[in-house]
Amino acid sequence: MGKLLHLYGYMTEQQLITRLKDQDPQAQRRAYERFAPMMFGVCKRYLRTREDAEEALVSGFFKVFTLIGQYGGAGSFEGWIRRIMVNESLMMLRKNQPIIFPGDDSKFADEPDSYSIDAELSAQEILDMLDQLPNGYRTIFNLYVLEGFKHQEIADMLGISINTSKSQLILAKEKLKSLLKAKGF
Amino acid sequence: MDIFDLFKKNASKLDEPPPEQTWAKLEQRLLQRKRPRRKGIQFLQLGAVVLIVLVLIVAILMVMYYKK
Repeated sequence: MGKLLHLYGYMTEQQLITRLKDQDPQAQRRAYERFAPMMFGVCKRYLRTREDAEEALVSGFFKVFTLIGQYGGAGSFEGWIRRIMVNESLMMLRKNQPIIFPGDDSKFADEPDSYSIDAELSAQEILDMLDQLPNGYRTIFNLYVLEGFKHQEIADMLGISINTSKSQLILAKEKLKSLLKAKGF
Repeated sequence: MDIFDLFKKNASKLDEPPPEQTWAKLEQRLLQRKRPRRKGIQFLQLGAVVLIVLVLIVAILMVMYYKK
């Protein structure tokens, strides 16, 4: 709690949100300092270059600060910001090139997997492996595994079938498994 | 540990402060939004509308004249 108060500059989250709704520049700077490192990490997972991730981050925070009136406090503030960042990253991804979902849609039965691993991955290793996934695998993997969306939600967000979402996830898993093995994990 | 759990466990390692110029870009965009529109631009817009209306009137008059 002490750390949280320090990060907000002795403002509670509710006070910060209230001041953001008043378009207070100081509160905007504090919110940015608090959430930007985490949200930059989110954008980097979806996008292949740091420049694109930075662009998505700027657009995302611009929306956070201009649409703050729409935040009603139903979910966590961090979750609301994260959702905006994910949407911005997806828009940026589509702007660069359409997201292609390669592979066979019928391959969605998740077979029991005995492969088990307990390792420490560095940030660079994570990015290197994500960079080797096609955009379709990478996007579904991020949305399902790291954001926690359901296949139905992903299908609605991307305009694809549930089976495509499931098959892309299985293919992403297989690809990641082979990349981890190749790296000696 | 499952592959997915491995990535979940390590994903936060990608968190890092963005470069300082990122805030500057954001601040610039926020300031542009707040800045009131200059009167000169409003006059130009008004002038463009008047010009379009005049061109339309002249075009209609010409069509009517040549029909006669």
